[in-house]
Amino acid sequence: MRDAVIIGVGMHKFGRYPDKGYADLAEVAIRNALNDAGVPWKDVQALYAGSALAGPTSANNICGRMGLSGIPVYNIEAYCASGGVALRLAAEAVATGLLDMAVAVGCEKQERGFIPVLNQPQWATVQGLEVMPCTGPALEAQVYMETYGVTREQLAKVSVKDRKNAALTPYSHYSSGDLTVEEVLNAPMICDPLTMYMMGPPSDGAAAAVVCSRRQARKYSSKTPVVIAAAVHGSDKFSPLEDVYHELRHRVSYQAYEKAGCGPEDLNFAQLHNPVASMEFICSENVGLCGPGEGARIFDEGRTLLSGDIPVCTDGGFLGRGNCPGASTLAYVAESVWQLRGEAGPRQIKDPKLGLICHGGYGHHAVGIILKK
Amino acid sequence: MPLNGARRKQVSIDENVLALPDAPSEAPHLLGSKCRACGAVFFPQQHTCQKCFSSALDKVKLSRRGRVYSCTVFRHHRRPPGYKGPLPYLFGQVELPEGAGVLTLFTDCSFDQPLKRGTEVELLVERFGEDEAGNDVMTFKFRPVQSK
Ligand SMILES: [Zn+2]
Repeated sequence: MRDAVIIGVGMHKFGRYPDKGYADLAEVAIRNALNDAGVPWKDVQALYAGSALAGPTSANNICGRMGLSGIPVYNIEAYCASGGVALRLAAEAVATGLLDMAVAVGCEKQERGFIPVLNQPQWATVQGLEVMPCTGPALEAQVYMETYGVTREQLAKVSVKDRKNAALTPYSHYSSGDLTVEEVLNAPMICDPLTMYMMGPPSDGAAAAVVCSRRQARKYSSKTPVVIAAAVHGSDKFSPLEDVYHELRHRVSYQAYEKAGCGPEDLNFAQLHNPVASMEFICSENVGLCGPGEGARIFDEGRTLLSGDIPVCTDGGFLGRGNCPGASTLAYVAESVWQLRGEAGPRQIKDPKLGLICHGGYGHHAVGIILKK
Repeated sequence: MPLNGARRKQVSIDENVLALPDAPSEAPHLLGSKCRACGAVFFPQQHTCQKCFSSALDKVKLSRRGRVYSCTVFRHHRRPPGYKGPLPYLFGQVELPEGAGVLTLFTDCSFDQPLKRGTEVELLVERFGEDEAGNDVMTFKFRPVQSK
């Protein structure tokens, strides 16, 4: 196996674009990534396109925007992990020598409001038992807060911190970082304990990465290649109630550490799945940044701020940058590449060398990706 | 044949999930699967044991009482996609003595705050709506057990 590296990343700003379709968004992200990499589309040997909702042949439509070059095109769905699975497959193809140059893209175009959950039993849907992104995370938050004595104020502070990070990120849904704890607590209650501002806004957007071998990287770009030290994907197992979701996020992140030859203590940042505020604490425990029930403590100590020793969600994640299912993992990849290259502008953290992305996909999928300089 | 004004026929929201009683003296039950190999119990029914992957599963009637594992109240004014009931609503997970978890609506309790974890709850059957043939569609919910 050889190293697969990222030599270019690009995004379409997250937000609401009533006049654009998913292919419009994906095209912008791919063109930005190819420009960043200095790679012409004709040199791309495969396209891995992830989206939760775009549906059959959407990857072909995206390919058509770039030019029908006849390459293999993969249409990938893994809900919020779709873009991460696209990156994993691209990285695997390059690492095994099957391909020298691939593009992974994730995109989403959504209706306003809740995210449709398909393929649930009818009896659950009509009774409102599976509503994305709030019912499962709200129940998880209720149990978590009672078990560890975490307060709503602590959750509100996560939203405030992530809005601040997002305000420093040009591609984010929210451009203002003025949100206060009181505003978060007084926002309409969606599902106890989660108010509207403890949930990421549904966003349209796209993100892309150009993946190649080291030799190719030298040919095209003088920028520091970012090594994909691990890109692990797993699906759900049967778990007792207290382990649902936790087991999967823990499993993929620890498999990623093993593959990359590192541990959580070696990370300089972590980009975690935070569609709701409580998940930022829970996920930081699942990936081993701290022990069970300590997520709120390391947050309160300031350790997960941009100025802390383990910054979390440096671009604001779902709560600030936006909840754009198919694009969200690759948005974290793009942000991580900018951080590792020292190109993150006002939100740049101090000299990072190694970072983790841990991202779920509606409880059925999770990816653990480790990037290093 | 029932005469005009006789009780309308009741049908289950899903016959593989909720078994309505054949006779008024019997109780309704949720249906699950029990693995013959490892004994694990699942709700809803499974084709394969999700613990040991054996395909030898028996259909079982599940306990009618359990404890609240988690509970929340959906309070948003916007109706979730596909949801057919009233707003707001309480829902959550009930842990049954067999070890299975049931995602369910709760009823007969206040909307002011979610049920406390560990509250003892029991199954009941309520009318959910009407199907195209004019039958009453019945669903399951759980409610707190009244203290004696
Ligand atoms: Zn079994």
